[in-house]
Order: sequence, then C-alpha cells, then structure tokens
Amino acid sequence: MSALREPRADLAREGGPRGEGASRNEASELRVVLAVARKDLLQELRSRAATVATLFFSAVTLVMMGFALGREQAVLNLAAPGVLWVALAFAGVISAAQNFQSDLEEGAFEQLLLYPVPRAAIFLGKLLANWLYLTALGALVAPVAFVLFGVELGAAAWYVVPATLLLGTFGFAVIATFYAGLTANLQAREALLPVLMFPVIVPVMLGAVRATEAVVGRSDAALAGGWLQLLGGFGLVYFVVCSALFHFVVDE
Amino acid sequence: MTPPAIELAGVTRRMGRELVLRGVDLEVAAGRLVVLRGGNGAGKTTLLRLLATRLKPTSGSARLFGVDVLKEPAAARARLGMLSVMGGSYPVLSARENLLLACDMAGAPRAAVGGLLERVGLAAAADKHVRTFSSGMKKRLGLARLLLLDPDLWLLDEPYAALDDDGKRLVDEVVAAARARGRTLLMASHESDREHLRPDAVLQLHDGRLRLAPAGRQA
Repeated sequence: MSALREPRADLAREGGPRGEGASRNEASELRVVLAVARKDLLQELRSRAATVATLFFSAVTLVMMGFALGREQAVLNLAAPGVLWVALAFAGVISAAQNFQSDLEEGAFEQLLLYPVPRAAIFLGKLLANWLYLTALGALVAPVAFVLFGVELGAAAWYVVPATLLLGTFGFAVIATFYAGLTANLQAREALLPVLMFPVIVPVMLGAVRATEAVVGRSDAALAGGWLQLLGGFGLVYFVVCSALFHFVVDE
Repeated sequence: MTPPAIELAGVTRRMGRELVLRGVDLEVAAGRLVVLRGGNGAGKTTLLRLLATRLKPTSGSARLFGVDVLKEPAAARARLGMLSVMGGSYPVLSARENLLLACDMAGAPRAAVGGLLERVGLAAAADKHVRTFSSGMKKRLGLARLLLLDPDLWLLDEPYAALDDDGKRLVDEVVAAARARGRTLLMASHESDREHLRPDAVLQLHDGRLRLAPAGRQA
C-alpha cells in the first residue's frame, strides 16, 4: 500500500531507529574512533594501489641505496637506519595522501563530517588507522633492510627496534594525518604534502634514526632509551596539538 | 513557543569572487516540506550546505530549531541529516558497511541495517562495493542512511536525480512518511510538481535571492 495515501501505516516499514519508536543515542567517542579506523584500514587494503605503491616504493628505496652504498660493512651499518626511515617516511606520505583522496570521492568525507561527533574523534580514528598501517609496513620493511644491508643487530635490538618503530611511526602518523587533511582540498596536494610535512617531522626522523643506530653493530640501550624518550615526547606534543587543531583543518 | 526549524536572516555567501547568496531570509516552521527550485548554479546546494554547517555564511545569521549554526554547529548537526547529490557513500565499502559506519557514527542500532537495505531495494546488492553501483543505487543508499538517522531536519539535494520511476516513488513515500512523523524537509529539486509531493511552499532561488515560485503554494 502506498505511503502517500496512508503515510502512518508505512512507519513500521521505515526501519530507522526513530521510525520504530526507539531513540537515537549519542555515539560513544570510542565507537566513532574504532569505526573511522576500521573504515580507513578497509579502504587502504581494498584500494590496492596505495598498498602496492608504498610497498614498491620502500623496496625500491632500499635496493637502490643498497647498490649506491657499495659493500663496505661499516658504511652500510651507518647508512641502514637512515635508509630504513627515509623509505618509511616517503611511503607514509604516499599512504596518507591516498587515504584522504579516497575520502573525498563522492562526498563521503563531507557526509562523515555531518555526524554530530567531535572532530578529534574522527582525527583519532584516522590516526589509528595510519599508525597501524605504518607500523605493519615498518615491521615488514625493517627486517628486509637489516638483511639487505647485512647489519648485525645488538642484544638490545629485540626491544629497541620494535619500540622505535612504534614511537617513530606514531609521531609520523600524527603529522601525516594532520597535514594530509590540511592539503586534501588543494590542487597541488601531492607536491605540498611532503614540503609542509618534512620540516615538522625532523625531530621524529632524527630520534628514530638515532635510536635505531644505537643497536646496529653495537648495543647501546642507554643511548637508544634517550632517543626513545625524545620520540615519545615529540609524539605526545604533536598528538595534543594536532587533535586540538583538526577542526580548523576540516571545517571552514 | 517552538522556534522555527529554519531561520535565515540576511544570509550572504561568497564563493571565490562570486556572491552566490545575496541576503537570503527564510523561516520554515517545524514539520513543513519546502521545495527549493532554481537553475543550475543558482545556489541551492550552497544554501543546503550552509544549513548543514559545512559552509559558513559570509554575513547574516542561520538558526536551526533555535540553535545558532555558527556558534553551536555540533548541536545543529545533531538535528539534521543531508542527502547529497553524489550520495555521500564510500566507494570501496559495501552498502552494508556504509550503513554500519553510519550506525557507529550516529549511535544507532546496527540491527536496523538489514531492514533499511530491503526498504530501499538494495537487499540483493547489500554486500557489493558501492563503486559498482549506478548513480540511482548510490542515491538509494544515501536515502537509507537518512532513514537510519531520521533527523528532525531533512536536507535533500536533488533526491529524484538519477532515480528510475520506482526510485522516485520510493522518495515520495519516504518524504511522505517523514512528514507524517513531523519532520521538517527542505528539498532542492526540479520536480516540485510531482503529483504526490504536495509541498507546503515552493521557493525559487534566483540571482542569489529567494522568492515564492510563480506556481508555488505558500504554507
């Protein structure tokens, strides 16, 4: 029966929570964060272009630098941490830019911003997805880099390298998520994103490279610990500032 | 006294160098259906996006249910939902995943999703990626999202566009049911003369200003 003749008879068919008499609850911020993160990760994994591009880019960087640096082990030991983090940084830029690009298709991100949820929760969701993705990428690329460069890891490496990956990719993901949002609507975003991002992530890159260096060819856990504290500190500061400012990025 | 659902006073909006809205005044009582007409580029979508808190007025004030859109955008967003021209769904997610995302974002029960997909005729395509959908199917999915939220204010941007006859009848039914529930609807559409629509008012947006459409009916 047509709802136009008897509109009230159709209410039960509407299926919406309020249409059935139930009330809509406020979405909990945790539920929003997890929903946005799950959505972003699904996007990342299904739009294989970004995944393939980041993996390919990391592999090419490692191989090219491996050839360029020659076979002297002392040089390779010195260069390996830097090459690893440069590969991760550039791959991270590609991934973050691609993530926001997918968001802008068909007005989906605009729709996301219409929900009455704090902008910080949306930022946290996107950050969580970016962080998990970069950490997974790091876990894949780091062993390849160490094998390819033939470096010998120190005894403390078993916890220093994972901790550096976690903290380093966190700081990087915070900045990448924030700046990818900032440049998402700009025409020259691909060029602007690294230009804007890289000066800001210098402390993160420095801390990550130095902490990794401390366990390559030696095992200086105390030195690594100092750099890890720096990484954690910068990550925290970036996190607080970017979360607070994200609404300026996505709203007029 | 209940505040109007929509209250615009002297709203202007500049897009680049062009003044798209030039002093729009509008008051819509709660529970009304108002159709907004106008040529391409007349500013209909700009006006809807402004009400949806996605654009800020260059000057003037906008209130939804008494809430100042500029000062309390989050409170305003809690009362509205919008069906955009493009549908607003994520292409790499399935129809079901898009609606589940909407549930999580809006705090709605996930159990409603299956029924809604059936209601808008997408049950058979529930688990297909939206990028494989036609424009009409994307519009149906957007409509399902709006049904899920069932906001107090429905902002509909060309809801009939790209839909087949069945789809258009579905929009008619959904609009009629929303009106029966006391929702307020502002619809930008070229199809204000649809037999079953019966809007309370038809407004024409021309040269950035609102006026009653020649054949419009005033509430």
